[in-house]
Amino acid sequence: MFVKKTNIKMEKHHTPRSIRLIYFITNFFFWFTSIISVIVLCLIGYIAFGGSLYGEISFNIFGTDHVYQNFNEVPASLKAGLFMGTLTVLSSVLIIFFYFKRFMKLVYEGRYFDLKTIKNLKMIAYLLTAVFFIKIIIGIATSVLYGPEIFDTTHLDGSLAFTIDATSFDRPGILIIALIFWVLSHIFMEGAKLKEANELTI
Amino acid sequence: MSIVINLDVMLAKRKMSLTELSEKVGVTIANLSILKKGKAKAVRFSTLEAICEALDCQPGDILEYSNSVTND
Repeated sequence: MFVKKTNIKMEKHHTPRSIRLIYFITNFFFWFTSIISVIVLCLIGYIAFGGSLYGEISFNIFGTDHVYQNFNEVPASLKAGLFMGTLTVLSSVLIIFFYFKRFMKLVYEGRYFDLKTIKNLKMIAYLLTAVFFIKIIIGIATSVLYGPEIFDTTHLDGSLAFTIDATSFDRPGILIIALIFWVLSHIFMEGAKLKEANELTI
Repeated sequence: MSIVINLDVMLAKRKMSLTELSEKVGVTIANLSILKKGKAKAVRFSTLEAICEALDCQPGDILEYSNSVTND
C-alpha cells in the first residue's frame, strides 16, 4: 500500500508555532507526570509495605467506615489493593500519554501522513476504548456486588486524599475521545494515500 | 497499470542519457527513473510537454496503452 522508496527531494518542513507549543507542552507534561507518578508510587509503596504515615485515615468499604490513626494499621489486603490500583491507573495514563507524545513528535517533524503516525493514533484509540470498557465492567461488577463506592480513602488533614469510584456510567467522554482518534486515524490513512499519489506524480 | 512508458526507447533513439534529459526538463533523475520504471501514478501535462520538447517527439511516442500488460 505504501511505497517505501520514492527518492524524492522533500522541501524543508516548517513547523507552525502552535504545533511547536503543543509539542513542548506535551513533552513537559509527560515527563512531569512520569516523575510525579514515580514519586507517588514510591510513597504509596513505602507506606503500604512498612512505612509509617501518621494522621487519622478513614476508609469507607462496603458502606462501613473504618478509621485508623496510622496507615500501618490498615489491613495488608487494602494496602496491596491501593498500591495495585494506583499502579494500574498511573501506568494506563502514562502509556496513553506516551503514545500521544510520540504522535505529537511525528506531527512536529512534519510526518503527518506517515504509517507510524497513523499507528500511534490507532493505539491511542484502542487504549482509551479499553480504559472505558474496563471502567464500565468494574463499575457494573462492584455496583451490583458491593454498592457504588468500594474504595474511598480520605486523609482528614487534607493531604494524600483520593477516591477510587467504582461507577463509570457518567464518563462517556473517554469513549467519545477514543472514537475521535479512531476516525482521525482513518482520515490520516486517506491523507497518506493522497500523499503517496502526489509523490508519484511526475 | 496498462500504460506503458517508452521513455528508454526514446532516449536511445535520441542518444540522450537520463541525466541530460533531467537537466533539460527540470525534473530530478530520481523522478524520471520512477517514470521510466512505470512506477509513477500520474504525469503532469507540464512535465509531459517538457519531455516531448526535449526529445522532439509526440506524447504517444512515450505513452502507450496496452491492456495485455500489467506492471503491478
